[in-house]
This record gives sequence, structure tokens and C-alpha cells, in this order.
Amino acid sequence: MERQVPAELSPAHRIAADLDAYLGDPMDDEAGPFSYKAIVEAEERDEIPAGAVDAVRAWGFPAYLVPSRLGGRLTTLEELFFVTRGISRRSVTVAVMYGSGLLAVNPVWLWGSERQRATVADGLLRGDLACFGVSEADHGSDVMASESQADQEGDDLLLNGTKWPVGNATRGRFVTTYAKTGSRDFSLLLVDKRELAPDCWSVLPPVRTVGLRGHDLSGVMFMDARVPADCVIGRRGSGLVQTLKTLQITRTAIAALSVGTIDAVVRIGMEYSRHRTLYGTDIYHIPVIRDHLVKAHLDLLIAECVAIPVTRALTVAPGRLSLWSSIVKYFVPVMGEEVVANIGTVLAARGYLREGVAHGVFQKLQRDHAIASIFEGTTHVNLANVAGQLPFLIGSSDGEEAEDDQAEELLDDLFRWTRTPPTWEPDGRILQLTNEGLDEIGRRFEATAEEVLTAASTHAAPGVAAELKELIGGIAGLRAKLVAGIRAAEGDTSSVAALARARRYCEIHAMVSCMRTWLHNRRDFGGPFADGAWLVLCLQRLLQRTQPDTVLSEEFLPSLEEAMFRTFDERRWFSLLSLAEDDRPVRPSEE
Amino acid sequence: MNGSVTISHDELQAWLVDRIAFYLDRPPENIDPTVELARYGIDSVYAISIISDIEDHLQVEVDVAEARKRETVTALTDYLLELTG
Ligand SMILES: Cc1cc2nc3c(=O)[nH]c(=O)nc-3n(C[C@H](O)[C@H](O)[C@H](O)COP(=O)(O)OP(=O)(O)OC[C@H]3O[C@@H](n4cnc5c(N)ncnc54)[C@H](O)[C@@H]3O)c2cc1C
Repeated sequence: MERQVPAELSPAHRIAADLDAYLGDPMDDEAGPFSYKAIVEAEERDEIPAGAVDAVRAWGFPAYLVPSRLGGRLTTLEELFFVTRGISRRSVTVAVMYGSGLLAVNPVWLWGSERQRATVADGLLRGDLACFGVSEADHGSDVMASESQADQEGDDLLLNGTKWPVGNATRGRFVTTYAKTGSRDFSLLLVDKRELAPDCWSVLPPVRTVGLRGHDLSGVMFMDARVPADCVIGRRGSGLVQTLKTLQITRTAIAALSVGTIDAVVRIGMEYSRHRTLYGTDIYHIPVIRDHLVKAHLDLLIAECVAIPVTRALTVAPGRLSLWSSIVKYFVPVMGEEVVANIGTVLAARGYLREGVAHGVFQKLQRDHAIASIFEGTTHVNLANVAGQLPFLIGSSDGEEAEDDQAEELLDDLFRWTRTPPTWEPDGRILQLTNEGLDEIGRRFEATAEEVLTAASTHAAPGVAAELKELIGGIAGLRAKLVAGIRAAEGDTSSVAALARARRYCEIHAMVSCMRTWLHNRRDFGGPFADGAWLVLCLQRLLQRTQPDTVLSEEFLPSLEEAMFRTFDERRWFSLLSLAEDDRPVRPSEE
Repeated sequence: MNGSVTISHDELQAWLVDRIAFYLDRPPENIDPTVELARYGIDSVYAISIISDIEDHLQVEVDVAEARKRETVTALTDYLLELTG
């Protein structure tokens, strides 16, 4: 047999492992500001642990908000996603503080002048924070109703209005402000607090929140604030389209808050289930407890399959992000909430205490994670985005769909973990407001199904191919029904039924993402990953959303549980990687 | 009401494509005048902005509901030319 050189994982994996080692094991009380002990104690005082932000800075996290061309370390969204996942399994609060900052500066990277880019890059690398002021108390998701206004006065603009609630509004130096600059036009203004006269702006008091305690959630008010006209980011009047495009990037990254949280709660749930003894043995032996933990672990694997390719899309297929980022932003946070709720039932009373198991951090993780489905477009808003595109996703694609081999190449770039995506060269114009009916993941369902069945018949473990055949037949049925439903609805994209169709579209997208992840990585990963049993389990798990009676195949569970327990014992991230053959694929070494 | 500006089909279409390109933040050459505007994500909000731009530019009053029945740039151009006579 030919001996292959094992392929190397993309650099994101090494960077994340480095951060993880640097921050230490959160379960270890001696791990410093990122131990659960320190995190819970500080939260009781509405604070982030002393030294936590310094530690993250010392590791160099702020540089991951600045593109490499401008002196930072941000090269791919995949890398940012991985480091954010690493921080989020300890503290979603710290991740949100930097995430809100990224949201604020992305318009500068995407459309800003060289001078704006240089100023902001320099500030961020020195530790300054930024905030994104779009929301207003009275207008929420309805950003077209925003009242803040910037009127021309000589060479300057006079800015008036109040932005609330805004993350980093008090501590942030830069305020990316969404304001009216014409009777029906909005612009994004880069406001530097340091350049403002002191009496023309103020911050609003801290907002008391359920979670993210210690995060600077407040607001900022401008009263005849004089700013130079060239603080407008990009072309005047394009604030709305800029905001919608910018959100595509951070919406995708928000899935990292959920994957990090899922990792944390599964770990806490497993720890508890192995130490809690009832009726003479540990509670992992109670079938329903085992079921919760196995399903939560599968949900994490599904989240990896769904989110990782879309992070890679920023530099591989940026024109597809309008649809895919909303799918990820809907799907992964909602799944995260379900996992958290289920693990809460495993912990029972211990999930309700602010002390005890893992220092009572579970309830904090739950409260913090709840933000994921709210900000940057609520679950409904993201489903509405998907619903609006559905009519175009089922019609003929007018020959615009990439040719078969081009599409296969694109899918390999998206799904194959050993491929390194190209470096991000920010350019707002390559992002689009819609996919114009193009979706290589969802639309190529039949080709994907065929490839999976062919590969499974020769390469999968015994029993897997037959099981996949049946599952895929069922999914094809769901998909046909959905397509017929979209057709029959004749352009209705806003009713409750339209949102339900969008939800189904997202579920099928998740199933195809699992299939693609198997297809594109089975050779590089080998081991139980290549056997495909996990794919059967993930598809069964996803089908439970539409057919709750679907059961997980018991015969495929032991290899999954073995990987889950080994990962737990070795204190490594729960991941599809735990199913790969030993030492494959290779983790890249320090450059 | 009669338009006070005379404008050729090609000129008007090019101007419209330019406005739409601005709202979508994409190069005008990437806009196909025969493709439905909804496919590009020109939702109702942008439709209003574009119609207001047209009214300013051509100095005519445009019936929003009628204009929105024109689904492509080409169809919208034809309709506007009829209006301006
Ligand atoms: C911790 C935290 C941090 C935040 N950080 C920032 C920040 O940094 N910058 C900033 O600008 N804002 C920030 N926000 C505000 C946040 O983005 C808004 O709360 C969010 O956009 C939703 O607005 P809303 O809460 O006013 O809900 P509303 O817009 O009032 O929505 C009410 C209900 O209507 C539904 N709905 C709205 N539109 C639609 C639609 N088109 N289709 C279907 N259903 C719809 C919503 O889903 C919701 O259920 C933050 C909020 C919090 C809590």
C-alpha cells in the first residue's frame, strides 16, 4: 500500500492550542484569572477577574482584530473563530468585549481610507477599544428608523443623537456611529473620542444585565458634536449596506461563543456525571443522563461542521456569506441554548447553585451565552434573512452556478481542515446583500448525497452505508417537501410559515455540512472519523429536530463515547479531531 | 405631469444601474439590467430610496406601487420613459 504523508491542519489549530495552554485549565483553581474560581468570584462583584484582560493582551489577542497588512495578526476568520472559541469556553464576557470591538472596526478595514485604517490599527494594537453604535433605545432592529443625525456645517458635520445599548461605549475610544446624513441616507462615522470637544458628548450609565456582568454595556450621547466631514467611512450614504455587510463577518464569529460554551458545559456535565454516585454507581449509568451527554457532544460536532466552513468562506466565497452567515447565526446559538438547558438537567440542583461544582460557573455560562441569539440580529431577524432568499434558492440557477469541478474545488476549500484559507484582504465590495440564488452547500444536495453513498459503500465501517442510505433517503424527502412548499408559497417570505421553511432550510444545510465534512476529511483524518459512524449519529441527531422519534444507533455509540471520554481525560477540546487516527492530521508546528 | 428633462433609454438605464450599484455597494458592471432587483436584495426600503432618487433626478412623480411592479432595471427604465413622455 502506498504510504501517504499525513496532511497538516490549518494554522488556526496551532494558534488556538497555544492560547489554550497559555490561559491554563479553567477547572484548575490555580490557573489564574481564567480559572472558573476566579471568574465566578469576580462576577459576584460585577467584574472581570483582575489580570484577565492583561493576560489576553499579553498573549496578543488584540492583534487578531487587525488585518495582517495593517500590522496585526488577523489573516483568516477561521483563526479568529478558533481563538474566540478558546476564550469563550472560559469567559464569553471577555470574548464579547473584543467581538464588539471587531464589529466596530470592520467597516474601517472594509471601506475606510488609508488614514482611518492606520489610526484605528495603531490604537487597537496599543490596547484601545472600539464600539459600534447602531442601536437606539426606541428602534432596535428597525435601523432605518434611527434618529441620530449628522448635518453638514461648513467643512464639518454636527452630530446629534444617543446610541444605546452599546458594548464598550464607556471604555471605547473609537465609536463607529450610524447616523442620518441625508433625508433618507445613513452613513457610518468614525468618531474618535479623543478628538471631540469635551462638552459635546457624554456616556450613559452602565446597564445592569442578566449575563456578561463586567462587560461595559452602556451608551453614548452626542450633542452638537463637531466632527470632520472625512470621518465618514467610505462613501457617504452607504451606512445601511455597510452595516448589513459588516454583520456577516461577526455573525459568523458569534458561533464561536456557542461552541466554546458547549465545550465548557459538556465538560462540566461529564465531570459531574462521573463523580456523582447514586444507587451505588455513577450517574453516567442512568440511561437518560448518558443520552443527554452523548447528544450534547454530537451537537458540538455538528456545530463544528456548520460553523467552520463558513468562517473559511470569508476568503474563499465571500459572496455567499449573506445567506451562510445568517444560517450559522440562527442555528449554532439556538443549538447552544438547547445544549446548555439539557446539561442543566444533568446537573439538576448543582446547575442552579452559584457555588459547588466547577465553582458554580454553569449558571454564569448559561446567562452569558444567552446573548448569542439576541445581538447582531436576533434569531427571528436571521431567519427572516434566510426566508427572503428562499425563492431564489430553488429556481433554476441560470447557468450561474459554478461548474461541477469548480464547485467541488470550492467545497474542498471550505470543508477540508488541512487547507489553509487565503489571507483576508478586506474589501467591502466583494461582500453581497444576497446570494442571488447561489448556494453550493444547499443546492448540491443530490451530488453530495451520491458522493457520500458511493464513498460509504467502499470505505465506511460495516453497517454505516446501509444506515446512511436510509437516512439520506429521508432527508431527500424532507428537502423535496420544502422545495414544494417554497414554490407553493409564491414569494411569501415574511409569514410564520416562511420562517418555519427557513428553519428547515437551515437544518438541511447542517445535514449537508456534516456529510461534506466527512467527505473532505476522511482521508486526512483516518481512524473512527473515516468509518463514518459519527456521521450517521449526527444525521440522526439532526433529524430529531423534525422527527423526534428518531433514535441514535446504539451500535455506533461506543466509539464516539471512547473519543469523548479520552478527550475529557486529556483535557483537550471536544472536537471531530478526537475521532481521527492517532497523530493525524498533523498539527502544524511553530513557524 | 410631464418631465422637464429629456433623456435617452441608455442614459436613463445607466443612471439607474449606477444608483442601484451605490445602494448595493458593488461595481455597476456587476448589475445585470435584466435580473430581478429582489434577487440582489433591493428590499422595500431601498425601493423607496431609489424611487425618491428617480423623482429628484427626473422631476416627475412616480407611483410607488406601479414602479415596484417593474422587477428589473430594463422594465423600470421603460416605465419611466413612458412617464416622462
Ligand atoms: C449585551 C448586549 C450588547 C449589545 N451590544 C450592542 C452594540 O455593541 N452595538 C449596538 O448597536 N447594539 C448592541 N446591542 C443591542 C442589540 O443589538 C439589540 O438588542 C438587538 O438588535 C435587538 O433589538 P431589540 O432588543 O430592541 O429588539 P427589537 O428590535 O425591539 O425586537 C423585538 C422582537 O421583534 C422581533 N423582530 C424584529 N425584527 C424582526 C424581523 N424583521 N422579522 C421577524 N422578527 C423581528 C425580534 O426578534 C424580537 O423578538 C446589545 C444588546 C445587548 C443586550
